[in-house]
Amino acid sequence: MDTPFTRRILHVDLSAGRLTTEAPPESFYRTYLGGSAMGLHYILKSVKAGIDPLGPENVLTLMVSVLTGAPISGQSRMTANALSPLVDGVGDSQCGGFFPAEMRFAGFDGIVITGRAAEPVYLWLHDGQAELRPAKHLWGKTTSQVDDLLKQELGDDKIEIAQCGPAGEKRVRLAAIMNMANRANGRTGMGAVMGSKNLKAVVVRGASKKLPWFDAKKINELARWGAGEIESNGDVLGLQKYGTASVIVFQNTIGSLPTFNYNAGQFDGFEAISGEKMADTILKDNDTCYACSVRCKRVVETEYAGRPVEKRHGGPEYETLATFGSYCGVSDLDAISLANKICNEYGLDTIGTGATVAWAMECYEQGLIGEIDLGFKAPFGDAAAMVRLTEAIARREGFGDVLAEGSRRAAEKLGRGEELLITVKGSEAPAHMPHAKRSLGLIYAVNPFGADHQSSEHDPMIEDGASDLYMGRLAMLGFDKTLPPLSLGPDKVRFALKGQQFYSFLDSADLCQFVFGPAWTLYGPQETVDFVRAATGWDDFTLDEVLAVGERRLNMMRVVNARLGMDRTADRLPDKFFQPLKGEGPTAGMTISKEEIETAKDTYYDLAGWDRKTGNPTRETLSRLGLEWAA
Amino acid sequence: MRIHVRLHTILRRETPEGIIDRVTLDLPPRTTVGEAVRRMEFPTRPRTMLLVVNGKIVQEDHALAEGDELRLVPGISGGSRQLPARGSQPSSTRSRLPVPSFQSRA
Repeated sequence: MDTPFTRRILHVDLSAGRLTTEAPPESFYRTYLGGSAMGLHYILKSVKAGIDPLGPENVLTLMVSVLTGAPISGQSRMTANALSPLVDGVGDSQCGGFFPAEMRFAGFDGIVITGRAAEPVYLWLHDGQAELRPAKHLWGKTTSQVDDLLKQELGDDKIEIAQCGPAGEKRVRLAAIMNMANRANGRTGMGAVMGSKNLKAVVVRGASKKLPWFDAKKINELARWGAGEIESNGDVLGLQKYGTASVIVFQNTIGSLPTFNYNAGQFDGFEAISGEKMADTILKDNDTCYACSVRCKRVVETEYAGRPVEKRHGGPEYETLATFGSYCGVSDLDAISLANKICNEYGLDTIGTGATVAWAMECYEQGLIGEIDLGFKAPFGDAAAMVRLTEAIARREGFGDVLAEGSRRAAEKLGRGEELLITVKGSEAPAHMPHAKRSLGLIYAVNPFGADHQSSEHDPMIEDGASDLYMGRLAMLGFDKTLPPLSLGPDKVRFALKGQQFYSFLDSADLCQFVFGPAWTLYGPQETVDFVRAATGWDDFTLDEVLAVGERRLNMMRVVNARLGMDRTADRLPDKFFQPLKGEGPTAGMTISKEEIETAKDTYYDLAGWDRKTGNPTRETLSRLGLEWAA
Repeated sequence: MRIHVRLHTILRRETPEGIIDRVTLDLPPRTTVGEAVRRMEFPTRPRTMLLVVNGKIVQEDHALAEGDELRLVPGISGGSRQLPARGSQPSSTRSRLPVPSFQSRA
């Protein structure tokens, strides 16, 4: 291979057992970069209303990018896309680890999976070759068991494996695609899609890690600069030393730590579930992804109720600490770590699962479900009950079979608890509260795959007091002044959209949002552009193109949803968000205004070039982005 | 007056004796939060930080009182305020000078 572009997309028809490869031209890669945008290209070719997300017609794509595998922090990411069995419309989630880089080394940019295998299979990709192999012997096994069995079977402990766990096999709608038994394509139920296709795993291995980057010297220069910069970037240093758990105290202080199923923004037990507490007690090491110097991943070792939590299951991230912790009123770090292990072993999204458990607990508190339904008591604060509910979901056992549908469908099935939901388009809200970060109220509403906290830049980056580093970088996106806290006027909406486009680019370029970004990260907008140019040789690639790639992907998602009959009426926050928050702290008593959100949506659609009435892209906008074929 | 300072995440210092995340400061009456922070040395100076007195976010010019608890919370995903500048020290300095009246957690 003598160009920076692998140019190999594998098409897998599981029904026919047929594998074919496609070699797209360079222009294809320039349009999409990879990741989410590239996956959506294939999904848009066939998606129409009426496709069952858990049926054979659903197209599942796993995509890396033109940057994956470079020897620099933050490039080893893979995006999974398909119609979601949990969220209305398109599904999307990213993972990190070593699998993404190894997939590129194995000689593939992406995999497009259709149909359903008659019996469980796994896909084995190595040095440009691909084959389907039987996987019945792996079915029903946990992710760590499967990892060990496959390494033994293939005689190579350096293979990387992306798999659906037992939860995906059982089509738990909250199921994730797991790698390393502790990294996840977590959100929107992509693990259930994989399980529904009888595709147990994708295994990858490349003999060589050397790829012909256009300017390897420049990449090395950027890599060395970034590694040296970590000590000076307090935000990134915090990630290295304390993981994402480093934000627990900050979030609690500003009243943005969801407590008791989003009823309050501060939790009395916040210190017990903080990154500092983890570091002082159960943290044994930190881990990383391929070539990344940040090393933000946690490795813990502990036990809860006599059940061990081993190091191979990593450790809880911020979202996990919140959803199994403060959302549930639980301040037991060992119990939360066990819940994290259960999710990793069975293959579950910790955000959706923890939030669904919290919803169930609030239903219990309100008398909407009882001990007779669950077989045990489950009030807020009961750590043992939190663990039992998590396991029940993972196994679809007892009431867990209802909760495994996600909280929104569970409420529909039960005919109660709807007023307690915190879902948007069926996706449970993550642990950054719009009451404190107002633009997230807009983004959670309009994001094509539901409430998501990693789809835009957060408000504190641009609000009064933001640092020179953030403002200097945001100036490149056209923002030259700070904005008042809690504002959601036209300037904040513009910030939300531009940030969303930048993050959308990151999910297409499959770059880590802790390493590359428009404000606080290790590399800012300029370094991002420099990296793309050095990897690909596109010396005329600019920041405008970064935003265009991101904008294109957002529009593609919107088109998928429009084909399924969705419009701006789906862009709505849960009713609970419009009630005053309870509890203590700066957000106590705060409400979000429906009127403010609707006005913000109007401004947002106008800026995005979408029809105000429908919220969907106009033909003009699609044409500008080269998407007339998808209209 | 005496105040109690809690240091979070990257402001905590690792020493052979253990983690230092709490400090007691003896200060003149009516010292402001900004003045108190400027007296302190940190292993790393974050770009932004929340200044929290007795659980409430305050500004630099907030006057401290006897027995106050001052938490310094580095921001990630932003912060409400830039760290009060310490004279001519650049913002990314690693400092090894001790802070008066240490309390070690070891």
